[in-house]
Amino acid sequence: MLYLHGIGHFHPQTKIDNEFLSSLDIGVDSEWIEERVGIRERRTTMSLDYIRKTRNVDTRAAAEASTTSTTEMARQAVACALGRAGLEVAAIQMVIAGGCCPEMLIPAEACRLAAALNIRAVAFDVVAACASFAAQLHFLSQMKPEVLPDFILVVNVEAFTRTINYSDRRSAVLFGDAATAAIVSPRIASHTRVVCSSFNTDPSGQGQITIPAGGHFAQDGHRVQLFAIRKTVELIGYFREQHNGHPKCTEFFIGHQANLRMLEAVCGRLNIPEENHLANVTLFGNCGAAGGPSVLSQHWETLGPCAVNMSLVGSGLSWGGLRICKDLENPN
Amino acid sequence: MRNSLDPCTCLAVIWASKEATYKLVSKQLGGSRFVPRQFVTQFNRHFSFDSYDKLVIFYGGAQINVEITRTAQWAHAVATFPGINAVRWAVREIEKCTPPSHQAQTESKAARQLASELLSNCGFADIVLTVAGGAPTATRNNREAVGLGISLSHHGAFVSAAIGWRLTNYLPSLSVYRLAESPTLEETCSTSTA
Repeated sequence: MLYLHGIGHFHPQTKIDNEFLSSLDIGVDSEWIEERVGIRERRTTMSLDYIRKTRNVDTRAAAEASTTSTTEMARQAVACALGRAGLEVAAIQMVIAGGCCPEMLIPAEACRLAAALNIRAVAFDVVAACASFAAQLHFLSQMKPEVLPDFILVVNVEAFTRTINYSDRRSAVLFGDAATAAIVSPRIASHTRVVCSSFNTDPSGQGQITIPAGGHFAQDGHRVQLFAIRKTVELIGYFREQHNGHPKCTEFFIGHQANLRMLEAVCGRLNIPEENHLANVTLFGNCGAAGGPSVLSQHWETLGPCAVNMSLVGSGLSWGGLRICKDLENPN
Repeated sequence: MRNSLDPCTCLAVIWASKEATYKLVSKQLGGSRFVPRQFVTQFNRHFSFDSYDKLVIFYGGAQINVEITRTAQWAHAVATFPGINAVRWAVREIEKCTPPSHQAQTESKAARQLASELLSNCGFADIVLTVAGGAPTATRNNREAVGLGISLSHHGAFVSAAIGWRLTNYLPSLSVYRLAESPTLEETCSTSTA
């Protein structure tokens, strides 16, 4: 079991709304986008002028053209998580990072972030694309607590828009940028615990979602969407089965923020009422590995005692989930 | 539909399109309730309800292509995933002399017969239709599943069958379509008649 002491998020300020995408003349309008994917806005580290002029044809130039660096995004998310955990940065003794589009192939994103945050600790990446957060926490929860330090920082920074070809309407409408940071402990108790985790892959689908080095995002749309629905339904069904009979509490669902229609299809199949479905894809788009955790972060201070079933699906193909319980009365 | 001069036909076409899509999606995800409004239709600017046209339906963010054919007596829809580049289908009237008590059995039998004829006409002599648990499947004679989707439907006096596959090459001299090597059953189509 892992204790979750705090989680934070950051979204850049620049908005890509549907009107902007319509103005790119790529065969979409606001109605088209909302009907199909249910997304209204996304955030980007790049300027809208840059996107309009270049369509981001050269992804290697995108980082230089960005107004916010990935380390700055991470710094903001980490500050939020530390504040909620009531900890100083010096308490962090391990850093794990992941995500879909690191700024550099080497060094590890975790080492770059640790250096930027002035953290002297073991730092390495656990990468499973959009399912990274599930992979990271599952990996940690499988380890013997005695080999882990008291506090571990888990960061996912996604400057996803830098990998998007803004001449391709299929991906241009989907993605946004975000960063999340979570502080977990294998032994120091808190009110919020990861009580169950799961992670798996099907490497035969490795070609279905790709970002080549220096290239653009591409996916085999219908296969991936239906795969995401199928795996999410299976994962949430698994968590329900594992915890069936436990004292009743409000149960929330957070899915991979791929698109709202996929999430609605999942809710329809699992009979999840609208008020128990937490999502931010409508206003922030698909933020890759930062998507699901950013939803949890946005609700961190308002959730009462509850269970949150989080399901994440990504390239690989990979999928994983977390059942997170919050109990204000009993921190153990 | 509200503004159409022929709302019944519109309804039949849209219903058939959404039902065919629902059947296709259910093959991938397992069954669930058919909720038509979850299937978002995208008509092209010049879409015609009159005889033949294509449209796109979105479900859960996935795109499904639909081909619609309408006559004075029936409307027929075939739904396929992008990448399926060969589809053959047929609609046939069930013989009217069938005793009403045997209607259901006869409908199924007629649809299977139609599907078998389609397979044979497309040069798939070694592929047979098997029905396991109510779901039609195309298998080779040795019962090995093949990457060819098959779907049956019936409505009123008509039955229909459709087969779809990913085409790797076509040998005109032999009139033979070659199946893609992948035996994945994702490569399917679904049919609906209204």
